[in-house]
Amino acid sequence: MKSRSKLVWKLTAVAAAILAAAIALAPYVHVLIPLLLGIVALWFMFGLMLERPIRELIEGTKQIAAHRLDFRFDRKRHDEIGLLEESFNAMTATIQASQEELRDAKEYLEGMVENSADIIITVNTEGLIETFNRGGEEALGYRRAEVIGKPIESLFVESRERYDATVRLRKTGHVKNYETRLLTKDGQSRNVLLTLSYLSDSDGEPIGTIGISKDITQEKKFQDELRGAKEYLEAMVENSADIIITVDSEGLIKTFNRGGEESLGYRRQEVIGRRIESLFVDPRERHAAAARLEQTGNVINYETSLLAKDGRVRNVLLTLSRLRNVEGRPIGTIGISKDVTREKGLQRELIQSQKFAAIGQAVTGIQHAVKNMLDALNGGAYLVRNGMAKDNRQRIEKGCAMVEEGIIRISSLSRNMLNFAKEWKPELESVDLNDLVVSICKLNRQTAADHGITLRHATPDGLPPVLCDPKLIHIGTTDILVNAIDACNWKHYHDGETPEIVLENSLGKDRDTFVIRIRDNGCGMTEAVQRSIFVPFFSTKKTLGTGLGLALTARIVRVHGGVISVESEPERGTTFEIHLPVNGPGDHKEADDGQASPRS
Amino acid sequence: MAKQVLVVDDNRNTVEYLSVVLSEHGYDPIAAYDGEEGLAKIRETVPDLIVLDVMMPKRSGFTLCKLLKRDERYKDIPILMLTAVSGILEEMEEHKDETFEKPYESLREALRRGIRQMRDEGLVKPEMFVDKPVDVASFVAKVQQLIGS
Repeated sequence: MKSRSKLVWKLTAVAAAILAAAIALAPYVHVLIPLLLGIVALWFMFGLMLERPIRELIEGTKQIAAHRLDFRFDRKRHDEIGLLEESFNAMTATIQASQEELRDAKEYLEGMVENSADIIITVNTEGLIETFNRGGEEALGYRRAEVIGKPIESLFVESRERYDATVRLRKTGHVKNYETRLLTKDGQSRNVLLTLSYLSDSDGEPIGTIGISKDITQEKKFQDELRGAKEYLEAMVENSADIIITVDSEGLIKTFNRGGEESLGYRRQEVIGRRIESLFVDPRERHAAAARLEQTGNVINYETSLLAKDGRVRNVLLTLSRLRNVEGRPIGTIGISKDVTREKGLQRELIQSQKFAAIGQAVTGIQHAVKNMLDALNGGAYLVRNGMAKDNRQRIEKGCAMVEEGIIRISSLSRNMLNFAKEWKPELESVDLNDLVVSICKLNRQTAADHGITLRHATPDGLPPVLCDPKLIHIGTTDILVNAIDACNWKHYHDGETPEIVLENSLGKDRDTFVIRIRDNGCGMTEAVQRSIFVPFFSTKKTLGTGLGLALTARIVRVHGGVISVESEPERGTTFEIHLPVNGPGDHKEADDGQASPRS
Repeated sequence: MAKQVLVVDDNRNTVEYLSVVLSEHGYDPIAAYDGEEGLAKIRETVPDLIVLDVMMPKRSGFTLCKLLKRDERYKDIPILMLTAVSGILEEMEEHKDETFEKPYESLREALRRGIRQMRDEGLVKPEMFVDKPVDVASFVAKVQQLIGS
């Protein structure tokens, strides 16, 4: 408006000047009037052709200034003003495009910040939170409205740490991966790596800080677990009583645990770096174990001997495995050696004492048997002498009978001893053990009946023939049966219970084993007696046996590749089982140790 | 009247010739062939002396001995125990338990246990032991020592 009134003023001044000039030039009025009209016409033309477009340009500029960047001139002119409008339009389009680009970039950045999984927080120079992204909301559980305007320290578990980070920022201008802990809304702590930078305006003036915190709680937990597991394993290795040694691919000792120190007497510094073979009594054994590891991939309980520092030999069971790195490449071996020196010694002692015990029992048994026989001879001799002195023929005869009996028993004992000592070769044939058991029962039924014992047998049909020596099996089974008869004789039966012996044939679960079971309800045996019954010359009887029967029977069963077992309870009875392989002993060799064993 | 001596042994030969020995020395022998029969004969006759074998069917010598020594009626009858295991019982008497070597366990251990048990139970042990084979002279001497001739 001002510009317009200025124009009017100028025009008025011009008009006044013209009027003054007109008065002065009155005489030239016929010339002046058309001149005046011409000027007025010019003024109108000026307004139409110049002032309006300029005003429109001004208006356009105002629109741009008001961010209405879609404003454009309708280009109808082809004059200079038209050119001006065209330039204006081009300029506006450029501004609009760059503005849009800027906005896109801003939105992109904001989106990035917003959608980042990291916690991104900006803080003003007062230390108050200005922005708080979704990552922050998710990690810390706050809504942004709850934290904006709050002091940033309130989000730290230790506000001192925030201060510490700020001090560093001031010193270096940038803080990267500062490890700290932030506090969630529900009071838990999150481990984060904080990267802190200054925010400045376009003039470079600081307006606050931006902090990007990477939540590493999970990684930290995982790391802690990993470290825990590692420490646990290390402690296990260290505190193991076994000797645990790792060796590199060159065969040099890398680690040596406390168990090793204690068993072998070395301090670990003394052996680390040494060749592993130097710990072996015979280094070839280490090479053999390593070769086996190479072939089969593992070595378990390899029996070898290690050398302690003081030269003593330690017997160990070595378990050897390969060590591999992350890529699976072998980097050495780990050996776990169980020190069994003590056990080995005990085992030797045990075997020795068992041998002594067996010899002792045998000697005691023989002594016992011989004394009983001597008693018969002694008594017989007395009766003969006494009978002769008293001229008592009956006594002499009785005495002679006793002496003869003693002689028979002694020769039977010596025959049994010879039998026991000789090598046994069963003459194998296919035998129907049902027939055999039936005949044994037939032969012994009268003896049993004389003692009031019922003797039964159970011989089911369909049992296969067994490849065995029928004479030997007959002897063995009869011997057990005779023992059963004695056991019944030795028991005092009460309450209507009657002595009974049952011989039962059956097939084992595997159908490859034939079982002869001899069950009695006689006096039974204590555990101590059960342990000794297969020992040669052990006997609890003096008039009947020599203490060799069951030892012989056990051997008979053994040479057939079978097993004999016993179950017994004092005053309840005894069950013997002879297990024979249906297809004979095969290439079975008679074992030294014997398989006979009490089962109870 | 001759003193009655009960001989209990499952070995008939032993019973027979000890009976001859006893009667030759003026005693009246009674025979029994197992623990049960022995007990029956004791109840029947209440003998002056019992000669008891250790290992017998039905009731062992030790069981029978224990039973008798617990019984007011019979506890004063002296018992002469027969055993085939030499020396052990004398060693026991001298408290030499610990000197036994391990291997000779089974039989000796059983005897030792029997005696120890009797001792623990506060029972009177058999008065004497006689080793088998029985030496006639020492047997007779022991019988005489116990009940006179």
